[in-house]
Amino acid sequence: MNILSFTTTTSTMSAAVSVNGRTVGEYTTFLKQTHSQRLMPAIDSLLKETGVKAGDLDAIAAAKGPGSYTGVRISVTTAKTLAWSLQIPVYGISSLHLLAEQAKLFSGWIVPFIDARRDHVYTGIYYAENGICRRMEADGVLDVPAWIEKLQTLEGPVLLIGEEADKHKERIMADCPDVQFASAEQSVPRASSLAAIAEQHEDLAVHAHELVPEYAQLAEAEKKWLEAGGGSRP
Amino acid sequence: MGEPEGAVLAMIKEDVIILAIETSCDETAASVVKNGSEIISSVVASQMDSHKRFGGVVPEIASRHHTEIITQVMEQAMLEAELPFSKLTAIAVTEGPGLVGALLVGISAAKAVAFAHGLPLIPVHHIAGHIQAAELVKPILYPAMALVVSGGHTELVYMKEPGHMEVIGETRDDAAGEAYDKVARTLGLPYPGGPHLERLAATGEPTVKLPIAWLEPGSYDFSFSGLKSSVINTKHNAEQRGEPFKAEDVAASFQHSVVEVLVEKTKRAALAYDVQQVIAAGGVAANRGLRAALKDAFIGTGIDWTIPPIELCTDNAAMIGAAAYIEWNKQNLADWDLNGKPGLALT
Ligand SMILES: [Zn+2]
Repeated sequence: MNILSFTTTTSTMSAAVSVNGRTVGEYTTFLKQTHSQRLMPAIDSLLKETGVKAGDLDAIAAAKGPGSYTGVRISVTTAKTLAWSLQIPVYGISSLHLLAEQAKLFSGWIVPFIDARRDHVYTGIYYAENGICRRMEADGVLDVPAWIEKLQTLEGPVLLIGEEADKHKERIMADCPDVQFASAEQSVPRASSLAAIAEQHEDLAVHAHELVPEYAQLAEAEKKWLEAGGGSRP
Repeated sequence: MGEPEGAVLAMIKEDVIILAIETSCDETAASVVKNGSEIISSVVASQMDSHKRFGGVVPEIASRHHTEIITQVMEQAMLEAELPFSKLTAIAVTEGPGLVGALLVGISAAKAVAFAHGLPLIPVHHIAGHIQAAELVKPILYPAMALVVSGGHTELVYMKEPGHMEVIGETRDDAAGEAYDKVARTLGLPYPGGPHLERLAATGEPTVKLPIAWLEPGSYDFSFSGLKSSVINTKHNAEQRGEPFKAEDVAASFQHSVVEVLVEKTKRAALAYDVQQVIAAGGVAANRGLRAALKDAFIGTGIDWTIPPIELCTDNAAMIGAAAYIEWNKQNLADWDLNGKPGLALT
């Protein structure tokens, strides 16, 4: 099974090719330049170097959010269009699950987070044991005080993992002195992990048309419209 | 991407069949076009019903809808064309101008489909697309003059030959379509304002005195903000004095002022540049009053005119396929690093 995997949902861009469960190539950058310009050149050079042709791919695995709205759409649109064009399945994987997967050798609670601006984070609750990481609650968006409250309810070892840890670390440690933070090197969402998740979770495979972004929240205009008593979403 | 010799041979021997994608605003569109002039299929998924509740296009919502539906729209275009991907020459996509988030969905999709099938990628200017829609009706006669009027644009574009485009006049403030939408809102009409205003105008008489901005002699530029303000003032004054305010007459007067300046400047430009043909393009060219006035203006001038049918004036992907054919002939292709350019200039 040949899997092309990638994520552009945060400031890290990562793409990988795996053949029969083994990563044969991975390309990861931490540049703030636009992912739209850099994703397809990365995929092109990865496939060329690994000698895997587009037509030889059996599946696409991509992070589907939450994260930067534009980054999420680049990841999802590229993934679903490649899958549709090649008539192969596509795995849409949570950006938070992808982060948690980086810490799967930890034993205990793993709390991945992505900064959502305005004092909010996208976050979820995962649990890892014997190298297997499972989602325990649905991903969502929380304001930081509510997030801290949530963290205080977790009993046992807790590991927080996120690319923008510095933004929140001091405040979290003040209220939750027992939690640990993953190192910066560990907190990189690597595309090779997307392929690994896909191999373990066949249920995440969908037809290209069905893959939609996971924003974890409504757009601003929709929130305001609902607040004004707009009614149900069409 | 493709060898030049091969490309030249392909141009001579084979039909150029392009799958074009357009997502610059609130329509998700895909189309298969042959040789820049024949529509094989054209699919447009409008988001208008979704944006109606906000009273205008919300960029984030537009981008979300594009992502949800893009593969279905492309699939529908390919199914209706009854062609395998192996018959395609290239993939074309709107590069700009437009809403950046919306453009990026189309561009990401275009790259992915081109990459998967090993096809070249052609970047297209949205306004060049609007103008080139005329070629889908009948061959453009050069030199030509195009009046581009839409929600975001009001431009007079001179074309000496295929692929040459020179903006000789443009709006200094609001686009014509923007003015329509704002005046419609002032008159309490629902979104989208343009068509509602046009319908209301048809029931009134142009009896209200509104200004026309001719600007300095010889200028082909436009200005609509004064006209818009004048409508707002007219309504305000009538309310203050407790006088009757006939919205249909104001609408008719507004429409009259807009059409008069658009048609007159187009005519002057066409004569000054000695063109063979005049083209009207863009969403506002769907306006019946403007269409009728343009036709009347060129009777007896010896200048031919083309106003594409309404579905080719509003945003669609067939026009992108038509414009892509010119870029293909010039071998203006994009690399995989193609990016959306929200303010892309027309040159
Ligand atoms: Zn347009």
